Amino acid sequence: MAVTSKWMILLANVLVPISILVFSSGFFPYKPLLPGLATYQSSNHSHIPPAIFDKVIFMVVDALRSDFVYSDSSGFLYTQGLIRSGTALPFTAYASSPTVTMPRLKAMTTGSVPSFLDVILNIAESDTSSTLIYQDTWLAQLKAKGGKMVMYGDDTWLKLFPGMFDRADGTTSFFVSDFTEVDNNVTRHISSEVSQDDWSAFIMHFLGLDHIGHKAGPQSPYMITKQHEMDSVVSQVYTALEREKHLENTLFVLCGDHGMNDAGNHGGSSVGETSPALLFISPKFQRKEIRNDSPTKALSDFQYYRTVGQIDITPTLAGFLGLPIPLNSLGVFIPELLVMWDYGPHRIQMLLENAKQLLKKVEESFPSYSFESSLMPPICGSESLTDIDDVHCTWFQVLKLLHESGIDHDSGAHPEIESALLHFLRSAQRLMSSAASNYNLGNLYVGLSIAGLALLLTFFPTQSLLLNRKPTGMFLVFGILSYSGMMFASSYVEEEQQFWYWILMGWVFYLHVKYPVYFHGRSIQGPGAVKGPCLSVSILSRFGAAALAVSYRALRRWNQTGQKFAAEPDIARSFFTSHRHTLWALVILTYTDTYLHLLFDLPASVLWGFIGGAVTLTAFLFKLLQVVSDSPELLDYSFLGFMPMETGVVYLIFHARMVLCGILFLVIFSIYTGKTQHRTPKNRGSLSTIFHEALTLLLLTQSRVTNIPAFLLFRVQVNLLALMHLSAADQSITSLIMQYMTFYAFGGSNAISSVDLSNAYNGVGTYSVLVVGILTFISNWAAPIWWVSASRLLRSPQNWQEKQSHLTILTFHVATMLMSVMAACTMLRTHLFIWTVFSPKYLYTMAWAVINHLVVNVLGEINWLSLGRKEARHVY
Amino acid sequence: MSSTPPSPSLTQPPSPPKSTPPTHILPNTISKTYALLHPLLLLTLLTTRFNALVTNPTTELLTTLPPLALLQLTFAITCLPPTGTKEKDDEEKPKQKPSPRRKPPKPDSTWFAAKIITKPQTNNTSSRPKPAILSLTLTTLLAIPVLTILLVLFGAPLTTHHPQTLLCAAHMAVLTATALVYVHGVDGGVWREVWGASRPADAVWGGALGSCVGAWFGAVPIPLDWDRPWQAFPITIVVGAYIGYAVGVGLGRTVLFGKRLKIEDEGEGDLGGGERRVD
Repeated sequence: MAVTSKWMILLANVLVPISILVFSSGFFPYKPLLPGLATYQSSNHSHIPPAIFDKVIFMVVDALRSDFVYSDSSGFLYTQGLIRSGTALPFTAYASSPTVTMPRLKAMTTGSVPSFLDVILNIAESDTSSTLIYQDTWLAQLKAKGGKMVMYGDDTWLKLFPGMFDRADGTTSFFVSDFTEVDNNVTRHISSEVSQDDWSAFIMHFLGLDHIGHKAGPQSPYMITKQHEMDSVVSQVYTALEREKHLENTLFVLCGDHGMNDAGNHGGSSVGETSPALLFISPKFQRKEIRNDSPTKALSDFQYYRTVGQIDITPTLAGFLGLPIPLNSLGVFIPELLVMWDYGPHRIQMLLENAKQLLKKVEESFPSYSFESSLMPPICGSESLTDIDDVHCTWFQVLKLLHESGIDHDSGAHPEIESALLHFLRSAQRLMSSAASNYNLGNLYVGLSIAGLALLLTFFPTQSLLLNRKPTGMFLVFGILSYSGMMFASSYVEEEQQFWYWILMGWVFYLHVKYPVYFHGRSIQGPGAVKGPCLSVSILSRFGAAALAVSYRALRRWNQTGQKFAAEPDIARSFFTSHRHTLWALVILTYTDTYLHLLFDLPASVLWGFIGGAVTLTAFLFKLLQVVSDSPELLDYSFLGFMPMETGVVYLIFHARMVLCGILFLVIFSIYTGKTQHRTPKNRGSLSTIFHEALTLLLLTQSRVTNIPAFLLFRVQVNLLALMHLSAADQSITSLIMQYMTFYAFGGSNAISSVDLSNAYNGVGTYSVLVVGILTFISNWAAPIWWVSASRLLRSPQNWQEKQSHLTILTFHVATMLMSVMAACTMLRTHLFIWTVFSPKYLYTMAWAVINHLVVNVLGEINWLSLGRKEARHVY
Repeated sequence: MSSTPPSPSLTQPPSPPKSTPPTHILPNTISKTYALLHPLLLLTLLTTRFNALVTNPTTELLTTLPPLALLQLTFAITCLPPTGTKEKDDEEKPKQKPSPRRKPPKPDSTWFAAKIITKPQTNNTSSRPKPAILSLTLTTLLAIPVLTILLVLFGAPLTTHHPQTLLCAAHMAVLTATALVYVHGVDGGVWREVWGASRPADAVWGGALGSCVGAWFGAVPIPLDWDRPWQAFPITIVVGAYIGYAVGVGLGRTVLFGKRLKIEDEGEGDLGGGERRVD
């Protein structure tokens, strides 16, 4: 029976990635867009409004949130002057989720709403299947007209439009630790380009501001400096517009591709992330005398001036430049800008052109509706119309008005037709943007069934395992069932950390009742469990679970995460930023503690003591230098504040590699000693091995500096748990809960925007998907990885059968989680939050199941050394 | 899922030595009737004051605290044997209602309790005010701080909401500790069992554990994005504690009477779980 259950677990673990593959292929369908270029909808060319501009300068500042330009604490002083004088027309452009660069660029150029798959492609940057070269964009239209294109900045543009640009200089967008080089690389081209008259579109994409956001957040002192720098670019370009004759018909667009949240990240759908600034700038606007006040008071909802859709940029640019509106656009010409056509019928023509193009998209999606006939459907008078009926009716309203006013729309009733057209355009846009993706339902169900099968395979081994441990089994089933149910509620998905904190305290109570240490007089002197410098632990341990509870309470407040309480004060962002002495003292203590453990594990000799010390010190200095270069405000006024040294990015890369080499050396050494382990029995059952300490150093290197002291708490917790002598099943559940709990305590959440990229480039010189991916995973899952390793040590004198039961419990949890998330995504696929809450949760579940479960937990459980020894024996 | 029973694991007590037995409700009509009415009375108080609690939690919790304490004391005095008289009651009880599962070796309850409470146990009626006063004092001085700490450990805000946390703890303390102190005084053995959550179930311990478990479940609706005023911090916890108390009292004196919350692996006669622990 043990043999069959072994194979069942193995099979279940094989099924997990298969189910993910099948489900993903059905859940992330690639939206097929119409290929080819649009032509004018009206056959009569006299019905086409004349172009207002013939050139465009399109300046994208990555993550330019609306308040960075418009609020009274902004650094865009010159730009605000332009707004006051009426030469710049300000808007807030709604950027729909996913708020990452590539989908946003797609939205701004094609006018379509990008699919969620673009998020993944945005991270897997080398992917070229996402190019827009065969799609209709305003760039393609401009190019087809014979214009030249130039582009400087983010090389996402080059990937989206291969071969489109006649002159270009791309910068990798993912190297986030660089604030200045990326932008200088753009700025140095400006003066030469504005003096050339051969281009029709000049695109700039500045990355520095986004990098500052990712590294140090929107309140960083670097931010205002960067805003001044961007403002000077605006001033340089605008001066050229006024001065140069060949630029007199040039439209200057300044926009952000997305915003950022309070932590400086983006990807989700919070109001900060979806509200970038958008400005149309030209001396021509001044004649229309549209005055706006600037700067304005800072608004908490970031909706400055009027909010338009980011996809509206496409038809607006097409209209201004005299181009047909791109085929897949769902945008609406921004009504405020219609004033550029003095002649009323031109405005109607513009809107009509837009309406006909959008109507084509509607007809395509709803072939059963006829928009041709002139008879108004009878339902139009009624109140509650479905979206498509509403569109249908408003279109007939437009047709009726047009018919009444005559074919040339020359006479009268302009405002009425304009508002009817705008009404139609807006309802059509709303309808088309919310239209559900065309999921491949078959694949969804097959993927779900495979996950169900995996769950079934793990169910019986788990049941037989826990049959003899009723309370443990019931706790596990209670926890897993409530977790599964939670996956169907969007707010519980957003606040998943609350579940883990809650269930953890329940688990502590369980441990407290099951393993009473103090009042029941059970001996707490484990055989040599307390080692090294943690003497206070033995005092703490007299309170057993109560002491654990205290440490968990501290951990839970470490980082506020989720949505609802994310802005409340916590230890990492509020306490440490104001108590820098404490922060650095604790960081040094953490490194010292790791060193002392290492010293204990390494052979007792001066040489090894020196090597261990050197590696630890290098790791600590790296962290220090990284803070100096990324967020020096954490050092100001602390006792380490005397280190105001400037370090180049190149040196940091070198230093990071040195740290990694040192750690690797220790790991290789630990493998060497592992082979001769039976000769040195002093480490048996110990909570520290060279491998574990080397891993700790790596995880410290990959963690944010404010999270580093949490590893001290982990040590205390591990020692307390060791003193409790948990049973095998309890060890497994503790390990499981700790992995998830600490992930959230370190600031993780189920939002794309909480992916921490600040340590993803340690030691990386050139962008490589694999290396950056691995480093990103390690830095975001640092605490779970540590607990996997620590739990292995806690369970260290375990035979294969016990390890197998450990894996059974973990696999049971993963299979249940996977199946419930898949079921939630399938059932709620038309839910309003499917792309903002449930899909990101599914992506995170993929990472949990494939990387954290299969790679870290399952592969980590295999005793590689004994395998190696066995193989070696075979070889001999 | 299939074979596991739905109730928490309450197994038969394997009769640990010198444990104070579970408390019976006093054997007279008034006591028995009021013991039934009391949880309902508390729930009625909760429902009538719920709207006020949502509008102004702090004031409401403060103003309802004295009535609650009064109700709890009334319950204790009317329905429960005061501390020190236990032995007598317990010797009477088996005659009236033979309970199969207890053969307690009674006299040596504990040195601690014995030292303090030996003197006044002669007169049954006059011994009631003293336990009542003791109960109120200890609840205020000890139970409130302990429950405040517990609340914070379980996630109550540490840096803000101090009055709310304190008042929530006060309500829970009155719910849990008043009756416990009234019945058991400062009997160290009992309080050790309370700390280990291993008291045999009765109305007193059932209510105490029930209100704590209820408070734990009360935290569940807080993260929901419904933006209702009743989701604010102490309200759901207090409501959970009241409901848990009522359920706990009900279950403790009836179906679960005398059972203990015991978590043991080796309960089913399988030795694998025990042996596998290679300590």
